[in-house]
Amino acid sequence: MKLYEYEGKRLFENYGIPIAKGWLWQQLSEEARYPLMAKSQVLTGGRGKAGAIVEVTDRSKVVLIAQDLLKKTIRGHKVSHVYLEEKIDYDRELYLSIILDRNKKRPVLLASGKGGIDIEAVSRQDILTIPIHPLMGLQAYMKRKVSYFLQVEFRKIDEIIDHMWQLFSDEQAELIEINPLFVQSNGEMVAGDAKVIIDGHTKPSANIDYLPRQKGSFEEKCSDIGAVGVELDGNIAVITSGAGLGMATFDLVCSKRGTVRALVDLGGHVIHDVNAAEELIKEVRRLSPKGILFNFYFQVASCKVTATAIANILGGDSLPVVVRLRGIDQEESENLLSVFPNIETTHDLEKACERINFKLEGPGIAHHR
Amino acid sequence: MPIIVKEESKVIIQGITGNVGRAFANRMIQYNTPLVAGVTPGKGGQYIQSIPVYNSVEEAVVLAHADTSFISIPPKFVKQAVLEAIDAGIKVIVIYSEGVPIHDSMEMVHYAKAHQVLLFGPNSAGVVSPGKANVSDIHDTILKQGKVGVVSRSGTLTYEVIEMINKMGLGVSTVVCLGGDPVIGVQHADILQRFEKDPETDTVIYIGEIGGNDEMLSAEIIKQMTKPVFAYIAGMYAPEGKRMGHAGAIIRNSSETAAQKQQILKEAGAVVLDVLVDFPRSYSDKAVINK
Repeated sequence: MKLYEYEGKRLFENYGIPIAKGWLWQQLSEEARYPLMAKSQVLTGGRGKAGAIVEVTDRSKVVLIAQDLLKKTIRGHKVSHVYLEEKIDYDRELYLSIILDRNKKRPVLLASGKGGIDIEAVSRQDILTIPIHPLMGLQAYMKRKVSYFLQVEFRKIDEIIDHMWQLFSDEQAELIEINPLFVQSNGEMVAGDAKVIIDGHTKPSANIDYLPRQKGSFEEKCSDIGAVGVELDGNIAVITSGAGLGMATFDLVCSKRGTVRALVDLGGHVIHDVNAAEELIKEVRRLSPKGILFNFYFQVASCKVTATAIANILGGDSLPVVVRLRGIDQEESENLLSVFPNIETTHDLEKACERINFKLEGPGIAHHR
Repeated sequence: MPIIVKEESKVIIQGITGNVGRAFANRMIQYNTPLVAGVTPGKGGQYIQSIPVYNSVEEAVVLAHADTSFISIPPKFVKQAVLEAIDAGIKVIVIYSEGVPIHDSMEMVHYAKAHQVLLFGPNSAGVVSPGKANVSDIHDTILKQGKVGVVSRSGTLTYEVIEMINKMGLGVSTVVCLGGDPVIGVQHADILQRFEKDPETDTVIYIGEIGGNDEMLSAEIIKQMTKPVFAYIAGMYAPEGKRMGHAGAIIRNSSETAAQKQQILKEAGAVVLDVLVDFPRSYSDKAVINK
């Protein structure tokens, strides 16, 4: 789960990583010292370039600037909150992060003297990369390396990296990024931004104030039901009994010139629960696909559960449906579905993909573009 | 000589008294997988059919000589179960559970490696050598013994592959499902080395997917292999940045796309399949060339 900067800063506060004084717009304190930086809260990067961070020189300008920022949409993300922070004077901008490297299967500590810009744009030799063994954890020599590399006082950076590591471990983070990390003229350091991603499978351990999230995307609705859904912009909704099978089915539909409206993996819970399966199918239908292709192959669960849900929700509808099902209670399940004129069943995966394309486009289309 | 699991394996199920664990136990008993015990803390002394349930893995190792464990328990308990199994001396572990926290996975994977334990998953559908031992969720009734080795991240996709192989009149030597999580234990490259050495395998089907750098490692092994490798990378048409089902299946940069992975495998000498159903055609083409 990606956190808003505001939430990341609350975590930083909890773990003793220095930040500037800040408030959500609605909670702005009388004691705030201007100038402030008004920062749009969105779950995407590049806010500076997009004009989503604006300096506020005095109190009279706050309302206008905040209202203006709240109208913005950045890379498709609507600004929902404005966070105001006291402006920091600084000599240098550094970069520090701890990221969980999936390929190396371990956390990696990254440091650079070129903070304040996208780290992807910084050349390799300007980035210090230190892999951390998950069973040994952060070591003192690593922090010393960072202090030499960045030419900063060890005492200062030592504490910040310690606190970052503690946050990373305790909150089961996948990423903690401080970019920029301001160094002030007196040598003090302040985290300018906070980018934090935590593992969606674990409960946060620190008790912080979370901003409400705009629920209601197809992905979120599927996840509430216990499935995994991806919304795309084509015609056919593809619903399968596994992630790998889903991707393979998706590839096959596309290779036959079909386009996909949604890709849904039923997940381990939905395949046993008719009600959940029905809810999920209703969600898919709300996307108004031009056809639905089911492909499920069960080794443990019964096909009847999913077949019953399909019959109840889609049976007799005008929407073309192709169901390819294999596994336990296969015949009975096919019989449940074959009574409906809009539902076609088959055993063969390739044929299923061809049939759904045919039903949408008519004959011939599949062979030329 | 089958690889990883065999007739002499001594299999336990951690979580044997749960619904899933019990279903697996019944099937293993019915189809002669060498299941020797189950473990559920607090349920020691019970039996599933004739199979004893113990409170700890250590008891199962001491009393039943267990060496292989299939784990199906709630995700937040998985790390403890795995560490317990490793410390008790188990050498092959399949984590069937889904939704294990990624920090837990990272620690388990490194702990297993340090103890030379083969850890499959999390979110792995398991390992099977038909006719010998089945520590996977692939039903025994669809498995036929043969010479094709299958290694895949996904479980459901392997069912599809097995069906295809059956239709062609072939069978499988060993099927290995590695798991769809971003951090998993055993990877493709480890299994390819075993298939190359395994006299019961003469052809390999390699199923990968978008995301991660598995194929870079695999390519190095494939270059040195004499047996033909047919490779399919799921997610050829996946848009960038979207998570496509598996938590590991997201394209982060261009080297993780299906097209790039195909290229790497092709250069290493694998026969690359654009879509899975191309396998029968490619297989017979290859056979013609070899004649």
